[in-house]
Amino acid sequence: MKERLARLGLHLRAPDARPIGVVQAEIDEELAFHLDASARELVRAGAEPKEAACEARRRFGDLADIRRACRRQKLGERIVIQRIQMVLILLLVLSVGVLAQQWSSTSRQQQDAIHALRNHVAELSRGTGGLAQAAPTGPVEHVIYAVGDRLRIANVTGNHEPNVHATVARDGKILLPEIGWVDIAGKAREDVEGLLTKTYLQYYEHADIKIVLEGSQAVATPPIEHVFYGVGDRLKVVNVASTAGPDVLLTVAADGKVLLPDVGWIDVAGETREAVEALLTERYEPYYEDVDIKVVLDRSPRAQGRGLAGPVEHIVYAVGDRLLVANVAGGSEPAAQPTVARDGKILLPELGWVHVAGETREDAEALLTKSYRPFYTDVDIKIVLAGSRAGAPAPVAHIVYSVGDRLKVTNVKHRGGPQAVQTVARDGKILLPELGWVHVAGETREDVEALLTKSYEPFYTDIDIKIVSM
Amino acid sequence: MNDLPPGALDLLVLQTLRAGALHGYALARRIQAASDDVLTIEEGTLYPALHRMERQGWLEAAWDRTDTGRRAKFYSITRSGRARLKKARTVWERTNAAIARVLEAEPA
Repeated sequence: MKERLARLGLHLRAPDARPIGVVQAEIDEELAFHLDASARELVRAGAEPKEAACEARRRFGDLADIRRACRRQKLGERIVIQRIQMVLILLLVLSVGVLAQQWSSTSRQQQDAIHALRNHVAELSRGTGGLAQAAPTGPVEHVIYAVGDRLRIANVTGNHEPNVHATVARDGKILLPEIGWVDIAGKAREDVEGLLTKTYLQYYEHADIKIVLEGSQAVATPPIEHVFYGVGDRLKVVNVASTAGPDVLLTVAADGKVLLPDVGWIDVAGETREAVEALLTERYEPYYEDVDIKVVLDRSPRAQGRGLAGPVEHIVYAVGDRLLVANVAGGSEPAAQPTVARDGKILLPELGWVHVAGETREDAEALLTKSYRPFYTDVDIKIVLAGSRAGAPAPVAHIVYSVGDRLKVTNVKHRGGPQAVQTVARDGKILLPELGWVHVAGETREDVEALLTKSYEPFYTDIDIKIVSM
Repeated sequence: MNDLPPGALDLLVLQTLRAGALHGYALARRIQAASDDVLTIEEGTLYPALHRMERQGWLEAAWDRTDTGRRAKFYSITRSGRARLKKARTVWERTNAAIARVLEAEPA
């Protein structure tokens, strides 16, 4: 029960904290022991050792598949969770940057409008006495729950379970352990406490449920019949039937899809919560024994007053897009966070520059998966669009450097090579370690990379210079 | 037998481990022997299930030496696993009894 309650919080479980290599080696040793024991038994029954080993292997089935299934149980979620956390951190950093930029460019007129709006909200709260709970008001006869209310639900008998935090969703419901979604918007505290006490008595010997209103939206909105997901919504997807299975936070991409561990991209924009929960429960059933997927809308740009466009049919990459490229099939490599350069390319480990502008996500993922196969055993590349430039320019055939360009010069072959971030000076040159001033203005990226690679060859054994515009 | 009903593998594993810790190979053989060779547990199902049950807290695993001196991973049932077994067994018996009643009922 405690584990299930924890799953309703926003903390991610840590499946197996040891290094991936250690866990993998343990799985391999366990399976090797099984094969060896099976072969010995066949030898005892009269088989030749070589034949016995082959037969044991045949009876065992697809070793790679079993190995993968074991690893998924131990590490699969962890790898995907780590990547999703990385995306979320990246998105957070980008959001802070965008907000800071917006704030600094807000005109006096906009500030006046905000001020007028605040006054209007304050007037509303004084006039109606019900809409705004943020401003201090006198005591009310009954606490009536509304969309956005943050509640603590606790059993005050000796049992102490349930004891959870929940926020009233846009359809007026809260998600509770054991009993699932419960409609409470518009109901009085006493009524809801009575209802929950009665319901929880079916699960616990003693139950006396009390609810504390911990926070409320400034302006309550009436509940809607169904929660529909949209682009930019942040969802928490959790399996409430078991401690195994997904427990992740993710954001609906511009094409209306979310990337989930095990099952990949799933279309959710425009779908109701009930439909998405049913679909995900069905998709996860082959992977876990007890599956009951619930989806909580953690944050929505629409709730913050920012309208969003509907989903597009395909995500097509453009200059300036910030991407997260990750391998969801196995190990932690490759993982990169490139930005689409002015010539429509991204710089990736092992592959160098790859053209993605104008390509759909599906095509780019397929291309990269194919390109990385020679480098890794298990490869399934997924790309998350972490940020995009409004009004992106069309890609150019070649990037030509000019005065003021800020360039990152790096050796992708050997970590010991030159690493420098330089701005092209007014005489068209950049200053580089070992080489001094090098003229780059008016030159294409390909020419400068070739020139620098050649110039650095006397200094380093393994050299392949790449340049990224900052 | 490849097509075990849902939940049956967990039940078989937990029940078999009640007698003491076993490694995966011995566990599969013990189930096969106890069922008079009717039930053969596929390795492709067994090991992922053992790792899942370990994560669910129903099993504990520890590396130890076998009689032949080889290192092997031994699984044992936890208190939570025993509780799970009790619950699953009750459901299983109730369901089987209900199915038997339906099968034995005289056609109307």
